[in-house]
Amino acid sequence: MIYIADKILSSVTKPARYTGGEVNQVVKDLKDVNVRFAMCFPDVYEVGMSHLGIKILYHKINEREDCYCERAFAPWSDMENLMRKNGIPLFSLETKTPLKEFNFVGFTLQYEMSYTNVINMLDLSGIPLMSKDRKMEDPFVIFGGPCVYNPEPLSDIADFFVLGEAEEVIDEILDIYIKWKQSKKSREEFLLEAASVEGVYVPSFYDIEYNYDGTIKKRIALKGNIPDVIRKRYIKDLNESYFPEKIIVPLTEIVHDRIMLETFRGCTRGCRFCQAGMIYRPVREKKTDKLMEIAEKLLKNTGYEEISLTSLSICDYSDIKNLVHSLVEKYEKERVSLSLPSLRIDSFSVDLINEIQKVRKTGLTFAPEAGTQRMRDIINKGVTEEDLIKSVKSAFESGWSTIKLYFMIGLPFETLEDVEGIAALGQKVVDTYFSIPKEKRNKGLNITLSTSSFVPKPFTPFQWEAQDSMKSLTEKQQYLKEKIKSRYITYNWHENPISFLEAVFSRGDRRLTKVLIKAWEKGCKFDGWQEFFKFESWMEAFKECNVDPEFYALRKRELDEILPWDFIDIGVNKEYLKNELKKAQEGKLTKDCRISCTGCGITQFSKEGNCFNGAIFNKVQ
Amino acid sequence: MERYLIKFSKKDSAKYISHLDTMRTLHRAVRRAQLPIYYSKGFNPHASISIASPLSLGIESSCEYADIEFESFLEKNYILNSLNAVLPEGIKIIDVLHVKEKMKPSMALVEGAKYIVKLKYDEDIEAAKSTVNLILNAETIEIIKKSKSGEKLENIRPFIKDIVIKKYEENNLELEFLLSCGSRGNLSPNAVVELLYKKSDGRIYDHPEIKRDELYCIKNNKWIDLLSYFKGK
Repeated sequence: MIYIADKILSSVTKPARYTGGEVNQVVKDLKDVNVRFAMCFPDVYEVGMSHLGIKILYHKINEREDCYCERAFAPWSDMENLMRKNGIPLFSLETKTPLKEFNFVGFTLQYEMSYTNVINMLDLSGIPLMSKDRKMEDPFVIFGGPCVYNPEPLSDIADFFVLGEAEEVIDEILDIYIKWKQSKKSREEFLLEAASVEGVYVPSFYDIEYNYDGTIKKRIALKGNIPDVIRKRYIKDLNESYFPEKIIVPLTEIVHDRIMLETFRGCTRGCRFCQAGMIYRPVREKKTDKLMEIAEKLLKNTGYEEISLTSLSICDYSDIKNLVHSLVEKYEKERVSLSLPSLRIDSFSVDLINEIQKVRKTGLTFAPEAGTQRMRDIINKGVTEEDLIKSVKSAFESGWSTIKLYFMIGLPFETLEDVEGIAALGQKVVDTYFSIPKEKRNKGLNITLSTSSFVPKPFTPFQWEAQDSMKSLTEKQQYLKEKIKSRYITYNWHENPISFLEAVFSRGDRRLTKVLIKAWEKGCKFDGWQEFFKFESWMEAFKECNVDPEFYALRKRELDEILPWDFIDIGVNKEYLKNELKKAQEGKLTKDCRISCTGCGITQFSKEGNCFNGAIFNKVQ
Repeated sequence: MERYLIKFSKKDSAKYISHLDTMRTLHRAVRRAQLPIYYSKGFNPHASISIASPLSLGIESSCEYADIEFESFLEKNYILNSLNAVLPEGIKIIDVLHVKEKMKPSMALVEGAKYIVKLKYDEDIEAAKSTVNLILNAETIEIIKKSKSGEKLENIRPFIKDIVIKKYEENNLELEFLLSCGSRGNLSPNAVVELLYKKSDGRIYDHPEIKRDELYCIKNNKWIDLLSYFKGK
């Protein structure tokens, strides 16, 4: 156990990030446990503690008497400096144990720009960065989360990756570990055993051969009896799956400081830019009565006053009206508020939000994603201008006056007209507001148009497409800025260098590990935070490693190219993605899978591959 | 609606919970304990809990006070036990008082605070005493106070009521500060520690261990601790 002096804690910002001791933190006697697991989030406490996935896994592992799962986050730079100066290694919050002493150090990878933090946290722990350098007494460093659907950029660092929903796999891994620990065999023996678990990928057991042009020639399995294809794992019956009844209540305010009630996984919309919409298939729902039960326990055990209904698209939950009514009715008196973080653009959603926010009309957010119908059809965002105008009209009439609209620029096949369309759409929203009689609307119109720069992601129909260059994106942002005339509209945009690096790593391969380490050596960390981001250092790192970032970000791939993540099976087949890309080029829409099956392959992927498990069909909108 | 004064301690790592977070933590504890907290009426209702005096980050306390209002009368032990069952490590309710008469909010009554401060010192005790006297005998002590509008000089001497050396063993110096606290004048014990470092030319040193030991209000021109004041003694 590490003692952190008051002198240190008193001189850093938000020391409660490092003290642990929160309500519902799990405390165990170390004598009683066989496996110690450090659940790590490669960002600062407030961000990591806002993530639902690690909460589920933390409590799930701790359900086992033989295992103790603790937490660790990236220390903010002031704390890191003091830790390095005083020789304090990275420690767990629960027992202040150095991470090096754990059996597993598991990271969740939610965004590419957290990779340097992973390296920094391993270094702060004194754990060898490269898996090949780890010895018998070192922990196994493992990764999960959406980014591991392309695990290759971290392949020299990871002992193994877990593909898919880790709740489904983790017990098998822990059981194998306990047996292996008793057997006193080599690290490799354990990895070989682990590799036999479906969903586990041990990168060191494979080699890659490249073509002259830098593309992949083939993958070579270096061991017998290891799978060529790694299939993702997923919970079959979400309604019956584990969900914690007590979650940790932080002592310092975190980003999402509320109960996250997970209603369903997967999405049926099939937007062609969206990775989550593909990798989380099939759609599986929790039933309303189950959700009511979980909500009651969580409210009682946390004291939170707010529940956020989470999913990829909350208004698509088949029993949403009933769920919202039931929660409002039951908890209105106790002043529990509800939030719907992902509103669909239709009047149904606006009616729903009206019901929830009767008094406080905070801002509304919609995501039309693109400015013209042509572009929205290309990305298969099944939304029309009429839908949006109807929705905002209804919102204005209900008393809202602050509306945010999210868009992407740099989408495949985009023209300047599509960019201009964003400004035009914003203007139409302003005009809609003024078309409503004064006495029927609230004062203080405020429209925010926000653009992010498109990053092509693996396992989407756009996985073969080039990212727009930074120069072109900057020009488009400038162009859009000029086209916005109304003083009621504010325009925000993302920094293009960050989007560029995201594109490099999201579709990168094994040759990027050395770049990551080089960039980290140059001081890169917290790359997702503007105040830390050092683009020049990144560019130097690429140069010194003789790696061309544009090869990954800006290159259009041939459809028959072997992609670094092709060995992973998410259940949606490649032919489907190719066909979706073709339809995008032709501007053809693919219907929502609730209307009819679009044949993505997920139903054949697993025998139990049951789409819409838990959904109430006659209520599907 | 029934008003209560609760007295609680903040120890160990709980001293790193900020003032706002302490409010949030108390509120959530009240909700976990399912106590019928009163909410203000109006457009944006909020729970009726207010802490008598904010405590700086990193300072322990055995005497934090909060006003809290419930919808109905509750037994004091019921409040105490049900809150202690759900509070995080380091925060503990010590006493609960039902405030029946109409009285000002505690926040408006607080005038002063006592702090126990532990520091390091290696030399003759007399020299430490004369350092303390340097401060107590000064008519004005000006320090630079930073605020949103900029920096300005402030005379903090009126806010220092007393500094007493309580113990000196080995090289551990224990002092007691009596300082103004509240809306009519407020001085952080850290500012006095800084003064001690400076006036002793660094002979008094190290990171201070500070504990707030009591909060006072004024009755008949005398300092009286908050709980006794409310009890009407």
